[in-house]
Amino acid sequence: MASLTRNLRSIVHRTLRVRNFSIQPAIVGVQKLPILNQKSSNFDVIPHQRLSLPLKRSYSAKPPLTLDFISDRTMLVLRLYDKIDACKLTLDSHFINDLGLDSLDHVEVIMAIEDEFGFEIPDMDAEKLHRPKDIVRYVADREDVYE
Amino acid sequence: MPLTDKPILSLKQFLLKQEVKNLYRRILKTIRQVPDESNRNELKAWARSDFRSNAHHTDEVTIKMLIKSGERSLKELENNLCLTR
Repeated sequence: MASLTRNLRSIVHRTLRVRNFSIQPAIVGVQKLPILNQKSSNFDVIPHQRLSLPLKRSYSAKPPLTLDFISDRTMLVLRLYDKIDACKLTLDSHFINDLGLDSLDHVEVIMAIEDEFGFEIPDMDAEKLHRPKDIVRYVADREDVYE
Repeated sequence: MPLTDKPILSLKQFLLKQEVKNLYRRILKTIRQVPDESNRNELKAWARSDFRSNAHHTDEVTIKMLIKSGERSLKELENNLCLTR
């Protein structure tokens, strides 16, 4: 019985000491808090900024594409290209036969489309894109847009 | 589809044309990696005008020579780009 109480006491003692140890950093932390607050009152920009952060997070992602949106963007890129006459440009006009571009211009057009939509068009496919319509179709297929 | 008045190319000419277009593509793609925007625009304008001013050539040897010189310029540009990184 005596040994049991001794054991108990030693356990209590140990846990107390452990608690002492564990409490100490917390107390120190509490003591430091006012100092921190004083400091931050001088430079109170940071907490205010933190408070004004929006609660909603905005992850960057591409806006959802639709066929109309793709064709608008394609036509905008084509209209901005200096050798294409914007008046003659329609979705069905042939780059080389109708718009009077040569093969070098065609390469440039395809590169501009690559820049706009942010992916590479391999040479094999680039050869087949003769009309704005084809480009819209190709981009839509590539981005899995079907309606 | 209306027939164009363009001459029909022989196989050799067709292959040369493909080669020129591939070179043009590769050059433009390399120019895209140039970090400074004004330099990039300048290089792009330079490449465009160079290709355009030599577009009238029909002689096979001349075209091959021009392709080689274009490839040399491309290599030089690539080397310089590696150095800037």
